[in-house]
Amino acid sequence: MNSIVSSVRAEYLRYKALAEGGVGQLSDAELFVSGPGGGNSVAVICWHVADNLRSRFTDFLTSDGEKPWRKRDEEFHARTVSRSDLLAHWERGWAVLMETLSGLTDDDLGRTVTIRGQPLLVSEALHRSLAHISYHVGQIVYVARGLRGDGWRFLSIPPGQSEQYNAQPNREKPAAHAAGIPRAGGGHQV
Amino acid sequence: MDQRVAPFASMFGLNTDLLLNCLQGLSESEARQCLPGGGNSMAFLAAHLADSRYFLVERLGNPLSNPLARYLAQARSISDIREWPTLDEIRSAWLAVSAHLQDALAALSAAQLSEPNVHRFPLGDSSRLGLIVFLAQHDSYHLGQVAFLRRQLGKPAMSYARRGQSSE
Repeated sequence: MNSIVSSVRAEYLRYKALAEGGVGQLSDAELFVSGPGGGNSVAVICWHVADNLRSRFTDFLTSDGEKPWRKRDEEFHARTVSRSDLLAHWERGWAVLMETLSGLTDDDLGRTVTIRGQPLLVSEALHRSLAHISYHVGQIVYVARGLRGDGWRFLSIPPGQSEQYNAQPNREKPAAHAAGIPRAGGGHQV
Repeated sequence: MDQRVAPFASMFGLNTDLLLNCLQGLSESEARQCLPGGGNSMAFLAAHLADSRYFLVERLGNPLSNPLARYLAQARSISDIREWPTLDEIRSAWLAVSAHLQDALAALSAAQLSEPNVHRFPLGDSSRLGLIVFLAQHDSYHLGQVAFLRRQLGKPAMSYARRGQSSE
């Protein structure tokens, strides 16, 4: 029985697709534009998410989730890299997560891992991580929408279209939702 | 509380405090301000988060009267809102539903968690637990946006302080 881990994996992929739906609507230059008030750029948030995943899920069951090689503060430095380098970095982080999830079963959920020395059940660590990812994906989408303005293509329910959306509720399934998210430019698929 | 739901109760509890921290020190006009490029205001997002929790407790079989419903009932998007709840009204509704949600989560049996959900979200996990998972992440998704908006308004970054604990 592996239903909970599968469900968690599907939710991660839902949010990965949402982030990519935002990234794909931005020009290369817009990826690096800081938000008003000095907010992080989309590139900075993506970089942070990728490094966070790589740290947390490398040797997930056997080593602390905050790796000694991680340089968290540097993740938030303004950076300019190519779109392909940014997406490659993003994918590296997600690949570590996906590889770890593929090796987990629901029987592992009661095991204990540590993050910064604090013990957590695997189930708690997964859901805390998923919440962290959702939090930052919300920001990626928000910044991208602000940069696109009227040209924004909605990733979930466009304003005023809830009724039409409700008539096709299968779109809420993670895989269907992810598949329906437009990804312009990069064409980066989950 | 069922072990499967415990991480989400904890997450909802944390998010309850983080949203309050995000709203701290905001004026009514700041909360309703939409920033360049469009997008939702902090007041809209906060009201939406509270509204989502009222939806969740109702779907979990523990409905609670939603004081924000009259502001949001006919609104299909932020531009449809003609009368705004005050920040105090949003905070009050948020605190009420958040306490109620904790009780509702604690009361769910293992069998109830596994029951098919009866709402419009046929999620990857189509149980009540699946709905809880989905809305917990929805909570975090919009909280991230509220925290970002707070910085855009020139306010200090969202505090991670918990209610009842001193912040350092």
